[in-house]
Amino acid sequence: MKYVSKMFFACVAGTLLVGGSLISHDAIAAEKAKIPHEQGKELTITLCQACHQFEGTNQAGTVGPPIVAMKARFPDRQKLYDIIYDPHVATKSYSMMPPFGRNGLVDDNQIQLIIDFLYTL
Amino acid sequence: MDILIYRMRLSRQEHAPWFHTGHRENQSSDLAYAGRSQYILMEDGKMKSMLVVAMSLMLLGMGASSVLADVSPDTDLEIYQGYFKKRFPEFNAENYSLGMYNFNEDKRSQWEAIMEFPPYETVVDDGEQLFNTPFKNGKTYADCLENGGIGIAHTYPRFDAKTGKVKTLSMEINECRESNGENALKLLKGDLPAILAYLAETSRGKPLEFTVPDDPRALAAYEDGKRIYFTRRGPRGFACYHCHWEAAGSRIRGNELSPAIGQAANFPAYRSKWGAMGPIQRRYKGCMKNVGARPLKEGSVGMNNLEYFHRRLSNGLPSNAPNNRF
Repeated sequence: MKYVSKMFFACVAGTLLVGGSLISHDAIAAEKAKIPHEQGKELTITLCQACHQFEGTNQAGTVGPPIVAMKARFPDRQKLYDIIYDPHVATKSYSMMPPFGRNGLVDDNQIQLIIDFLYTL
Repeated sequence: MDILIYRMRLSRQEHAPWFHTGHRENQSSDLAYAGRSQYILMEDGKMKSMLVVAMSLMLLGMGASSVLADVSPDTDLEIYQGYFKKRFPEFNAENYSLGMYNFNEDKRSQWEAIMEFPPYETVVDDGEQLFNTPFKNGKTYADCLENGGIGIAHTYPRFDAKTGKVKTLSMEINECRESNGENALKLLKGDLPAILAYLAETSRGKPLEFTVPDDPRALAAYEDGKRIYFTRRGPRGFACYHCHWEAAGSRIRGNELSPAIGQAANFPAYRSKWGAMGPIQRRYKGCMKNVGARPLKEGSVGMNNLEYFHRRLSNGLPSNAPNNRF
């Protein structure tokens, strides 16, 4: 029994050492930085591709304008936020685009993630 | 009433500028505005405020009187059909009947292949048999319906002056059953759509034609249907109008959106998705579910009024029902 538990601890320690040496701090940081971007991308694809075409979509809809050159078109981040939050207020009252923020389809944090991703397009 | 309750349940919007007077259909030459009803700017849960807003508009002298008095189905028809004529100038009656298949060559050829041996044919045969089978008391559907039920489907729904409500052909059939001691049939599936399909077959090619009678109750029913059509519903805030009017011909993902005009001329339809024949109210329910809204109940006053308004949009187009849809 003692032998088994000693072997177990040895294995755990070995795994930790090997794992620690394989994954560098830089890689972890890069991985962490990627997560919000991926989250933003995932959210944008889920919510937007029914109507908008952009890089990374598959059989996207054609109802809304394509999402391109977003930084050039919307240098003001707040303006983009307002449109996603409630386009009926920010653009035109009869807009077809859903009021994602106002109707609680996404929260503020998610809108920020979406905008971060949109700015890469 | 069920509509109001439904709306109150769905009330999520808190501060939308849902009533807007700047652009009404006859005030702008812009195609994007043409044909839009004032109702487009309303949202679920805001209907109770309509009167209050209308009254305040009157006080403000912003032309509210014309908003309230603007209940003319004939003028509406001219404006609405005119909008689509400008939007799709190359469309003839057949194009309108084709709906979404105008916008996708592949799907159109698939539909044409299906139509060589349309799956609805067996349903029409079943419907004919059901229609001609006498009730236990020996009477038949033909005894209840005008012209024995033949060649009348394209004239429904009708306004029933006795009840003051819209009556669909499904309701007429069920009333006939009940008055002959039979149980009412389910509205969306089974025997009733088959009977509808048979009756529609006897009306094929005849132009959809019904007028809203000059009765305040009929006008109110029409107006209610119009309001439902143009009202945003569900958390995404889509009205029927958005997809099938403003975005007609565009795609939502891979699905082309058919124009509002002509849709009703194809129903009841055999949908591949259903694997069955279904009346137009089944499609309305599907549409409402698709946009994330709670669907109205089939056969409810609201649903019938919606059908009354929606079918009238296709007035003048030849009936092409039953038909096949994906």
